[in-house]
Amino acid sequence: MATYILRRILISLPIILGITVIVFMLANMMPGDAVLAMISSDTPLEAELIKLRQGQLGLDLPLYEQYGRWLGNLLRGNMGYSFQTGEPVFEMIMRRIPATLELMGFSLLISVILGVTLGTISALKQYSALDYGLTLFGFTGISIPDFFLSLILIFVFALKLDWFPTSGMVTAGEPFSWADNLHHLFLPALALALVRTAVFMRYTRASVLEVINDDYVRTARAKGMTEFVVTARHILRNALIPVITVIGINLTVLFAGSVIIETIFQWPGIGMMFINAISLRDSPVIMGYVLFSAFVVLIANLLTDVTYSWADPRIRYE
Amino acid sequence: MKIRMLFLLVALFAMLLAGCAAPAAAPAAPAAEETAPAAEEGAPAAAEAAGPAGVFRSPMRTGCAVGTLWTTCGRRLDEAFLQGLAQVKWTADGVEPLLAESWEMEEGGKAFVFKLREGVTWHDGTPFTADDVVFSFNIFANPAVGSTYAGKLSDVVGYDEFQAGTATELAGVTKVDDMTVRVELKSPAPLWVELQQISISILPNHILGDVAPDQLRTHEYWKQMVGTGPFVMTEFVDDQYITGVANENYFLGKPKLDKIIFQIYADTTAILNALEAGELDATPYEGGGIPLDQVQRFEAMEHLTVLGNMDAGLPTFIMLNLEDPDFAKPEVREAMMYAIDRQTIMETVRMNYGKISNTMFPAEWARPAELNEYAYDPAKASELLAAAGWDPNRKIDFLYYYNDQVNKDIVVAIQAYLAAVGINIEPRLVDGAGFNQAIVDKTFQAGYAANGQGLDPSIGANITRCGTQRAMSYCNERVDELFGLGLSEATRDARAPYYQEISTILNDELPKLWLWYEVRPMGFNKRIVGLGEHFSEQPLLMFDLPIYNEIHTWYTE
Repeated sequence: MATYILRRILISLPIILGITVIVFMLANMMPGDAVLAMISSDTPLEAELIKLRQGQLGLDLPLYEQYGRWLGNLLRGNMGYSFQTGEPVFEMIMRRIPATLELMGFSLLISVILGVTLGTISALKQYSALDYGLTLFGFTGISIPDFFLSLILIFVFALKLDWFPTSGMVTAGEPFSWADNLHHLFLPALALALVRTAVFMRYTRASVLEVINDDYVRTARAKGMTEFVVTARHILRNALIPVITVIGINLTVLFAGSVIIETIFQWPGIGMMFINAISLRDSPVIMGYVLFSAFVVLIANLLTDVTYSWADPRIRYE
Repeated sequence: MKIRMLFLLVALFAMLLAGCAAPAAAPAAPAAEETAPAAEEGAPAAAEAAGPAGVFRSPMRTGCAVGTLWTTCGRRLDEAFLQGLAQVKWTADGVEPLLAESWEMEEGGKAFVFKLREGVTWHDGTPFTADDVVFSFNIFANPAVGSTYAGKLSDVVGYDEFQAGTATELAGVTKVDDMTVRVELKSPAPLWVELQQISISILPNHILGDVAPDQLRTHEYWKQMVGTGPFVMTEFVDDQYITGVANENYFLGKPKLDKIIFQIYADTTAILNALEAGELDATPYEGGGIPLDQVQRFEAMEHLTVLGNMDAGLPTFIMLNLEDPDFAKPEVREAMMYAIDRQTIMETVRMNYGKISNTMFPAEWARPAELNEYAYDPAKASELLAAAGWDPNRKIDFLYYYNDQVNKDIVVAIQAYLAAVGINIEPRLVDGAGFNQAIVDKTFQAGYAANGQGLDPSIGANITRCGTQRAMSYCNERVDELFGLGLSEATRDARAPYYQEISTILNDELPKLWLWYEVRPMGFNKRIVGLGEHFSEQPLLMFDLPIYNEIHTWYTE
């Protein structure tokens, strides 16, 4: 197993390097640069000052040289400094990661638990009114883009009903409290979770239906086990294997989705940082984020495979 | 083990249910108290008008929190934490002293001698002196710092040498004694204090004096600013908020508010939602204010004072690349003016917010009574185009960067009007950086833009002066000369004839196709007394006007 993991990591390194090259090129193909992004139409900057700033940031160098510099620094353990604030990129990411993890973690928790539970119920009560209702919910959930769902949630629960704040992570300027934090977390986490819940539910339903009539399930029933034990130990354990893969794949989708959700809800995580960095052409920050998300994808895929073998002892990696 | 997994699942589900209930239930308690009276009246207005007593919650755009030296919107923090020598008055008719008690002009504006205010201390207790002023002017002008505002000091003796690297400081800025600073200019500029100096915030020499200029940007100071302003910075949380508490020793008197919170937002919609929900007390200058199609909805909200027709001091125009042989022809530009029915756009899409313009300056005193109005006349436009030999098959790349619905609709209307006379523009939405890049690259053909006019029309030279990037190759030496003459006069009456002549030339020659003067609709929560009142007294809102001027007099009810 350990060699397998090590091999996977080693294979990933050139892939990550390739990703950084592509993203660096793409980031630099966007019109404008960090200096031009800072100029507002209210106060045009003198041409000489633009040149001066571009020189200070190394933006006047050829692209391959800029990339070489970035990579050289990275190999020395330095992810560079933000063009806009001058802060070290690594610190910027580390300071914002807890917020993103909180949002993602909470969403994943909601969606896995709700999705698996509802999916199982849906399958066990196949073709019942409940099943049809949940199926409808599932298709609705899969079809609604999460940014649109966010706007609806804000409109209904924050503006009309006034149950939740419209944005932010805590009430600004107040001493930190978990109640306040969770109050702010609820809407963005729900927006991020609902789509995923629907996906997990549909997969669980299909997967449970596949095994529900298998011989070993009938044998378990014949042994006189209670329906609950049969469902939990015999049906779910086998049905969840494909679902684990879907959850693993969705980890990365969740990570991507949090970019939009964070921006809409002003959730101060790395997703919002990334969007701001793009509009300000802050390429060290863009690169930092991309590198980080490449690692997240790598780790999510690895975890999926490892969990897979844990859930199904027949699967072994060499 | 399998049983354990099941238990885990059930336990997790239970936790989730609890988790769902907890955030909804726990904070609901205080929220319920706030909404209680509102629920009885059947309207949520009371909750939105409420807010923490003595606290002003101001919006702030992400990207603005990087320190006063590097971004024009960064100075929104300065009005609370730092101060300059003098600032523009609310009423936009002159300057009032801040850190300088008074100043004297020598030789008609060739030099200024600032007498500094006695007894001012930095937030850490250190006395404020002339060393701070000399240091700050040098930091702003230092090429190694790369300040966006460096150009504001280009009139000072020694600026060019400093930029070129042949001098290590501004020769024109000298300390006369501990409480007096003299600034010498290259040529007389009687309006220098009012137009240029106001952009320079005074920074603490005793904290930043030893920092290498190229290290200044990364210095921790920007997140724990020590200033002389009405509030003392207490907390800086990235992407979330910046807080300050009242400065007991503020030289204009202790602020009536206890606390200011700059809440940081990445987009306008979130700001408007927060304003509507009563989580925020003002709209920011940056971002254009309340979109025109939403002004009426906001006006109906009882907890807000909405100033829908606030003059933004901002002429909106179609910008053309005059190096293009087609656009270089005056008849083509005139034809485009006649082809667009600005009056109808104003009445329909813009719902009458703003004023139609026929030249650059929003300030009435800078315009003559008579200007060519270019009233809608498509027949005349077609004639002019035919005379100019316009090719109706030509496609024009047309850039714009305002992405709100009203401005998108306006661009569509312009496209339709121009197409009707045979001018085919292909609108392309870009962001600010993309727009600027096209100008720098000279790939720019045409676009929809606006340009902030400062306290005095002279700033308009930024888009017309020969050789300036945004002039797009327009050059009329008489205009440049007139701008210079305007700056040499100290009074508005003496300047008016020069600017009026410029107005007439720009109306005739159409280096830009003038559309209208923009408004910037602002909304303020009525719970902050002084805020909405101040803004309603203000004739126009401009980027270099301090927006929270006299904030120490505001209070909550």
